[in-house]
Order: sequence, then structure tokens, then C-alpha cells
Amino acid sequence: MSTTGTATPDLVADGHTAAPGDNYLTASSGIKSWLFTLDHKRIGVMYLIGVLSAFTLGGLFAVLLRTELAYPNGFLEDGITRKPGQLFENGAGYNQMFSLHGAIMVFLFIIPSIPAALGNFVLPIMLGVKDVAFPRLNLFSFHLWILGAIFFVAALSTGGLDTGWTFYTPYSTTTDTGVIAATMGAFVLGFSSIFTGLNFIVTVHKMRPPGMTWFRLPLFIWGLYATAVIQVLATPVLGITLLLLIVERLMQVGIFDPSIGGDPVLYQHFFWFYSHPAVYIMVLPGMAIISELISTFSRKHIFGYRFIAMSSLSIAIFGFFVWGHHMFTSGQNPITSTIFSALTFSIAIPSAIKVFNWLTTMYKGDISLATPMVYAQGFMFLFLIGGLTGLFLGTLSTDIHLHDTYFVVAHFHYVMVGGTLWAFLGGLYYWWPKISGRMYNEKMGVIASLLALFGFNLTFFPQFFMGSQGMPRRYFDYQPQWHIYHLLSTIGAYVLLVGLIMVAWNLIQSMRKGKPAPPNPWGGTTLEWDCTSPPPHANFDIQPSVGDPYDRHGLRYDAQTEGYVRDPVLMAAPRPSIH
Amino acid sequence: MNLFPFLALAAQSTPRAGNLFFPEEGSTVARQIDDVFYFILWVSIISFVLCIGAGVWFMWKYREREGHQMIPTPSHSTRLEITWTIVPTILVAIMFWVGFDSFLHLREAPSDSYEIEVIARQWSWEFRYPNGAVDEHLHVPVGKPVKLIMTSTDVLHSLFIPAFRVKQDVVPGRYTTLWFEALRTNADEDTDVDIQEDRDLAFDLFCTEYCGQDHSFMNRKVFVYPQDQYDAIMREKANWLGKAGDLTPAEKGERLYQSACISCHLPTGETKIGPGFLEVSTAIASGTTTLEFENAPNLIPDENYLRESILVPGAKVRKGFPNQMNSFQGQLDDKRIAYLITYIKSLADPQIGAEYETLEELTPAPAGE
Repeated sequence: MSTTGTATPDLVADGHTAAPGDNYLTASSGIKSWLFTLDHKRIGVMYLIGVLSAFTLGGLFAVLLRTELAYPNGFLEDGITRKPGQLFENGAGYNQMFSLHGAIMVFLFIIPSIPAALGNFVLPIMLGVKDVAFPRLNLFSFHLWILGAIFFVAALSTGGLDTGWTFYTPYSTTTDTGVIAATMGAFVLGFSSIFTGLNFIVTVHKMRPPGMTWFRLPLFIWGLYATAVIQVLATPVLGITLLLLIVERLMQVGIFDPSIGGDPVLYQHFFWFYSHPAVYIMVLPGMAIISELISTFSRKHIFGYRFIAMSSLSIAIFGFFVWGHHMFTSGQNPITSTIFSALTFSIAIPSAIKVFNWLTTMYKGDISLATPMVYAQGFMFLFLIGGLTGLFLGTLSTDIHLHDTYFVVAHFHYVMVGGTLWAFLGGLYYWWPKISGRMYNEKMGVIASLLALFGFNLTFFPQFFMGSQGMPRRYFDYQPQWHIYHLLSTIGAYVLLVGLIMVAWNLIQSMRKGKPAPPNPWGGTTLEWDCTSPPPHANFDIQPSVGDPYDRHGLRYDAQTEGYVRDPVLMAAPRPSIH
Repeated sequence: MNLFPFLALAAQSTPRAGNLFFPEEGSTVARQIDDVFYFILWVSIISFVLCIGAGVWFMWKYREREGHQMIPTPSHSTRLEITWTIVPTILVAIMFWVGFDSFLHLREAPSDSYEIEVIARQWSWEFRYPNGAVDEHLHVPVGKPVKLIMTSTDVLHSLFIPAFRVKQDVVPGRYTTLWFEALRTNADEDTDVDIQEDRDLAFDLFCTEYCGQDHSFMNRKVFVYPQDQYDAIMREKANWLGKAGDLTPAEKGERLYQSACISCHLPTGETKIGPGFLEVSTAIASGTTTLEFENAPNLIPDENYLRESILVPGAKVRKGFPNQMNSFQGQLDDKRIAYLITYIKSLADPQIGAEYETLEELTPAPAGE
């Protein structure tokens, strides 16, 4: 495929007029210059700190859960009285802990992780513009996030929420724990998500520079755009649902609780109408990062650009019509279940297309197994398992058996952690030189990634077997026949923990000791690699010109700067013919 | 159905034993569902190996190294991309169809099914049999379609029997149903094993919809008997309350306690969910000790207090406890309530209710009322 020669960006790093040292980190100082900044990069960095704090907290709870489950509790000698757990006296403490883990991970980490943190930082630069369309709204959205997060965590830890992250009625309308406070927190967080989505949509529609047509958008932006559409359309439904829940609890209006005339299954419809599309809020940006990583580290033009871009959009659209597959056993009409099963399978296809496109991109490439690429390959491995096990759950009769067992727990962790977290970490390592201006220790990056991959599989693969053998989820105690699976899973969780501590350590060390990063350490082709690392306050001094975002023509490694540059001599040379 | 004969891991007609993927095949629908599972499993394994294999091969063959360069290839190919859109489409269409086909069998109960009423509550099950027997475990005859008609008195629950591959949420305010036909009895029919004693042989029954503190303890057993043995056991179960000589009134009360109260109340003074029974029992025996309440004046408990607490639990809520208990109005008749009260009183004074009754045998309680 050829592109127009005129549109190729030729802004090499040295073409910048900015003085060395003038970047977004040093442009101004003081705590206020961060908290009230309108710079999308600083907002992105603050989101990054926020979501990583939430992740640490949620991860800690996960380790506690796995520790509790390492051994079955069993009975005292009388055969009737149950022994206390390893960590918790009874089910109440455990139930609060898994509710905390799920709610924090979903609402405070996975949903905002890639769009709000990495997306905020990268999207405007990739697009070649100074900022998002509404910088003040962007800041407001961050402030809302902080407010919602504080509210949420305070409510969860003091009110002892024990409904699970799903708030299923009528349990959630009758339990004594802090449901109202927690749902208010989720409600505020929802608005933060809506505003970010809105901002991205307008930015992509209205601010593309000359030459950047829709089909010259980098695929990461396509992914964020599709995500933003879901955020804006689906999140209000969650807000409404949570408000109805509050109205029911406070005013005893019968909406979901059958004892006052409501319908508990209605709540599930409302909830999953948001929360299934939310699964794609979580995973679409991850897929989009992988498209960037695979192309950059295979040193090849991405294969099937339009199919990848359109598959993101079709996932976003189909994602709205499959929520009923969470409810095959809920008592909904079997015909409804049948329709939802059929629609669910339709969404498997665009995901499969992306995998094939990534593989074909690697074909005949010059594959560098740098840390981000190791994460991208880990993503493929885990996401394939997560996606393929989803087929068992989309199929009507097998889902009846597998629903609400550990099979489901393993499946969605493969998608959410194996998919989103791996892509997030891959993206974090990929853009880290751009964000921090420093290079990290490559060897430690790869080792930590592989260790985490091993730990993750050890944690969650045994859960598939346990689940299909019948072990229900959200169980504080279990029967001895599942002990070996639980024990392996707990050991895996600790291995994963060690891997993730190494990940954090490596990044922290890089800020202290890392070598200064060149503008383009990986040979990336999108616009963010044209500005300095870290970027100047206004991103670009000159409006960059835009061509095919994956055009590698003229890009060569420069040993002196240890980064890639566009070589004018090579640029002038004819393009190699395609074999 | 045997759509995929090459997948039939064991083509024998006897039920398959449990393996890494499934518990033993306990019902007539299990085989078909397992075969659908194995079909998807093989498609998944092959797809996984092909994709990861290609990825690993590329990573090796095209690895970055001295003298190796990227070889430009076309950046799209409509024919290739349409091919790999159509192939997965066909595969998932087959999956949908076989899943749908087996789902229909799972949903449609035969019209001559034996019906058992199920009441779920936090955190116990109550199975009510057509002959009036009530039990916390599920007892079914082998080789006969059984239909469960289920409802909940409080929050959502879900009834799951892994060996039968059936699961259905139990929703307050409406009835949901599920059916199955057990393939074999728990123990070989010609042995003398009493499965009610040797419970490890019985099938597991779990609650799989999160329902609060003791969700993970809402497990009971499924016992499968030959029809004649089943009839005898159910007759026994229906009549135990009415028989004069087998159990004392306190023992009858204790059995009621075990099916209705044990998930929240201990017979000792200790708190489980609600207060332990010994305290109120001691207070009644003394005739002078008062109890404190959240929403009522102090009072010396008596039989009326116990009766009211069973039928209208919110009327007097003990100090330090939430108003959490559900009413047993309509679930326990006067006779049963009397036995329960006798049992509670007997905790402090073992003399109470210790003598066998001499009354005439009662007729069994009407089914499912």
C-alpha cells in the first residue's frame, strides 16, 4: 500500500524549536499547577496515579480473598459447627471483601484505566493537536472522579457494602450495609466517565488536523472513539438504575423489591444494559493499544486497518444487544434467552478478526520482543483463552451449567485482567518514556511481565476446572474436593503479586535512575513519537502534517540517540516493492 | 443427540463417571450438554493452538536480529479477511444451534412430571413433597421426570445441581421451574448402603445466587432412590410428626428446628445470626427473668412470646439484633409451632416434652400448603 509522499510527517526531534528541558512536567510548578491544570497530559498523569492507587487497593483485597480460600474451613468435631475462616470469622467479612475487590477494580480501575489515564495523555498528541476539545470539562471530569472515588472508598470501607459489585436486588434493597453511599459514589464516577467520553468524541470529530481523515486515525484513537460512544450512551442507564435503587430504599417505592410490588429481574435488565457494554468500555481500548504495539514492534504496517477499525465500532454497537446473556438462568423467557444467545455469538466474530489481523501483521516482520511487545503477546495468549471460554457461556445449555460458577470467574478475569490489565501495562511501558522522559530497565521489564503471566495463569486456569465441576462463585467456604485447585490458585495470586511489584519497582526506579528517553525509542510511527520525550507543554510547535499513521518509510534506528528518526535520505529513496 | 461421534469420549450407555471437566453424569440431559461442551472445547483448543502456534512461529522466524529485515507484505487482503470472517461465523452458528437444541430439552418438562415445591430462604432450602413430607434435602425417584416449582421468601437464590447440569434462579414473588430425570441411584441398588447415612454418595445441591452472609452454607444434598424405596422413605417422612411412639415432642421440635431455624439460631446461648435459644429458654424456665427489646418494653418471655416471634418476628426485636427474620406464617401449622415451642423450652428444662405422646396418629399434613 502506498501513501502520498507529501503527507508523511517529517518532524524529526531536532526540528523542535523548544528549548531542551521545557516540557509539560517543568512548564510550571507547585501543587496547584497540577490540581487545576488544563493540560491533558497532566490530567492523564493524575488519573494514572489515581487508577494505580485504586488498583493497588483492589489487588490487596484480592490477595486477602485468595489467602482466605487457600484452605477449606470445615467443621468442628461435632460435625455441625463450622470453623472460622483463615482470615475472616464468618461469611460476612469475606462478602464485604469480595464486594470491595470487585467494585474498586471495576469502577475505579478497569473502566478509567486506559481511556482516562493513557487516553488523556496520548489521544491529543496522537491526533496532532494541543489538547482535547474541552480542557475545562476534562479537568472537571477528573475532579468528579476524585470526588466519586473518595466517596466510594469511604462508603465501602465504613458502610461495609456486601452486595457484590452488581448490587442485585432485592438483597441490595434490604441489606443493612452502605448501599446508598456506594451507589452515590458509582453515580458520580459515572458522570466522570460520561464527560471523558463526550470530550473524546468531540475532539475526534472536530479537531482532526488537515490531512487526518477518518481512515488515517491511529487505531488507538479508533478504539477510544468506539469506547467513548459506549460511555456516553450506556453510562446514563447505570446512573438512572442506581438512582431508582436509592429511591426504592429511601422512599419504599416498589421498583425492584417484590415485597413492595417491584420486580427484581427488572433490575438485572437495567444493570446489564449498562454493564455489558461496560465490558467493552474495559476491553476495546485494550485491543486498540495492542494494535499499536503489534505494528510498532513487528516493524510493519498494521494489516487490515479498516477491518480493525470497523470491528471496534461493530463491537461497540453489538455490545448493546447482548446484555441478556447474563440472565439465562434468571427466569427470563427462554425465547428471550435464545435471541440473546444468537446475538452474543455475533460479537465473537469482530474479536476473532482482530486476532487474525494482529497475527498477519507479525508475518514477515522484524519482531522485537521488547517489554511492551511481551505484554502484547501475553495479551493475545490470555485474551484468546478469555474469548474462547466465553463461547461456552454464550451457548445456552452449557451456560446453564456454568453460570455463577468459578468458570465464569476465570473467564472474566482472563478478559478483564488478561485483556485490559495486560494491554494497560503494555501501553504504560510503551508510552512510559514519553510520559516520564526516562527509559526503564528492559530486562527487568520482560522478566516481570513473564512472571506475572505465569502467576496469572496459575491463579485462574485451575478455576475453569473447579467451575465446570460445579464450584459456585462468591463462596466463603468450599468442599474438600476443590482444595487443590484453590490452593494452586492462591499460590498463583502470590506469584502474580511478586510480578506486579517488580513492574512497579521498575517504573519507580526508572524515574530515579533511568536514561533520558529519545523522542522515538521504539520506532513508533504515530505522531506522539514526533515530539520530545516528555512532550512540550503545547505538544507541537508547528502543526504536524499527517499521512498514513503506520507508514514506516524512512524510519531508521539512530545509534547515537538510541532511538528512531526519519532519515531524509531514506525518505527520498523509492519504496520497497511488496512481496 | 450424537452430532459429533468422534467426540463421544465414551460411547457406553452407562452414565459417565466424573472427570476433570464434569461431575458424574446424573441426569438424562447431562450427556447432551457435555457433548456440546466438548465440541466447543475442541474448536477452542484447535483455534488456540493455531493462533498461538502461528504467533510463536512468527516470533521465532521473524525475530529481530543482525541482517534480518522486515519484508513488506500487502497491508490488506479483502479475500483473506472475508475468509476469516466467514469461517468463525459458521463455527459460532453451529455452536449456537447445538446449544439451543439442548437448551430446549432442558427447559421443557414432560407433562407427567412428579412435582416438588421448593421454598428458598436465607439460608436454607425447604422441599415440599406431594404427600405432605417436608425436608431440607431433595429426595427423588430414579428414572422419573421431576419438576421443581420454586419460589423464595426473601432475596434471590439459585438452585444448582452440578451432577444434573441444571440451574435456575429462585425469585421472590414469582415461581420459576426446572426439571430433570435422574439416571441412576446414589448407591448400587443391590447393596445395603444407606445413602442418608453415607452422604458423600448423594449429589450436591448448591445455592448459586449470592444471598448474603451464609450463602456458601446454603448447600444440601440430592438423594436418588429406586421408586419403591422412595415411596417408603417419603411415607416415613410425611408421617414422622404424627406418629406417637417414635419421637418425643421435644425431639419432634428439634427436627423442626433443624429444618427451619438452624441456619440462624443455635441451641446454646451463643449468637449465630439471631440470638441463641438457650437464653430465652432459661428465662421462661425461671419465670422472672426479663428480656430487652429494640422496639418493645421489657418482658418476661412465655409461650405467647415464642409464638409471636415465629409468626411476626418484627413485633419484638431483641436488643442488639437487626430486624432480619422472615415470618413463618403459613409455613408452620399450630401443631408444628407447639412442638417447636416445646423444644425451645426443653433446652433449659430437659423434663419438658420428654415423654412420648399417646395420642392417635395424625393424618399427614396436606401437600404443599
